[in-house]
Amino acid sequence: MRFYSLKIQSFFWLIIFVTAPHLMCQTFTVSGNWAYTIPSTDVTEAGNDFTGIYSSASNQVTMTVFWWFTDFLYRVEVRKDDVDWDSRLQLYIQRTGDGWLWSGWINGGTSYQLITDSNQLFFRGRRTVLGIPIQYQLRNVSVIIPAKTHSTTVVFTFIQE
Amino acid sequence: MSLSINEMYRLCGFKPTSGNHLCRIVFYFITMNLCNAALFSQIERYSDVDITIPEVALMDIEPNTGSITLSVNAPTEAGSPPSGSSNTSKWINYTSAIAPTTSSRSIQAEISNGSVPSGLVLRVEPSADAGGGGGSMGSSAGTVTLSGSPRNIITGIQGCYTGNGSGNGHRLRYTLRITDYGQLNNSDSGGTVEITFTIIDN
Repeated sequence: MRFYSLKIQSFFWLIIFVTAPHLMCQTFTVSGNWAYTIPSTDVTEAGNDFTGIYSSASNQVTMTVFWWFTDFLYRVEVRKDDVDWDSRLQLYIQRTGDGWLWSGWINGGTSYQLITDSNQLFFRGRRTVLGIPIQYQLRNVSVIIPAKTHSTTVVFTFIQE
Repeated sequence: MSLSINEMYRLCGFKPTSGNHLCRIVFYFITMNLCNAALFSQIERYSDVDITIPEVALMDIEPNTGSITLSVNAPTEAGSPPSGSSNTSKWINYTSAIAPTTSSRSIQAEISNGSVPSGLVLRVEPSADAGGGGGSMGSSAGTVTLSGSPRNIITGIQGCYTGNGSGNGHRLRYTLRITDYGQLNNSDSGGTVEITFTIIDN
């Protein structure tokens, strides 16, 4: 019995040792996509164009930075990697809230900024912040742009400072 | 991590056997945390954005109130022929959002109700686009004689919008032309002709 007890105990500590630090250290998660069809009814009269600006829900994407032990500062940068995207379409992003500032703070990113193909600062933060709400906005939509699905991937880069 | 606890102890200057079990665990967590912090100092996460622009094909005639009247005018000099007339009060506006799989769009016109009196033909000629909108507008097909079959009057429409209202898009010139004086009949006066315009994919 003692032999089995030791083996179970060893196995328990092994699991704890292997998994716990990773779980307890840092997590950077982004959840949510935006799939949207421009309403054709927005062209109310022949001769008119689309209204041009469309926004997602204010919490279309939520972001979480979770860090357990150490105090640290970080920044989040944003860019887009186009899959099939017309260059005339302009995708903007903003942070619509702070989320749950469990043990940290965040600063910046509260007004719309254009997402380009290269990384640019979105906001800065410190330690754990949960559920940061993020909103997209699409501008420059026009009937001149081919009628099809335009796809891009927004890349959020967490950088420890 | 490939380092054992004892190896990490040695790296940090501790004796491998020093400390009790709890201290070892705390030490391990802190060390692993710092290692993770170094390893994962830059992380990328992704969010997909898919925007669908729908196809749109809208067209109308402006101003869209009232009909136009064309008549055969009597000559003012004996021996002169009667003459037809024309009207340029109507404009055609359109909006076209087009899929890449469609080459272009056209606008066709036909007489859908009524008939032109004998000895006369009804023609329509769209002008070039007035330039109030944007995109790749269509081109005028020139002067087209209207009949009961649809005929292209504007071709090569891509993604575009002409602007809305009179003064935007293509001005339409309707002309009533005499083709056979011998068939002119005064009893044909007052006939109404209905013209239908259709925007189609090519």
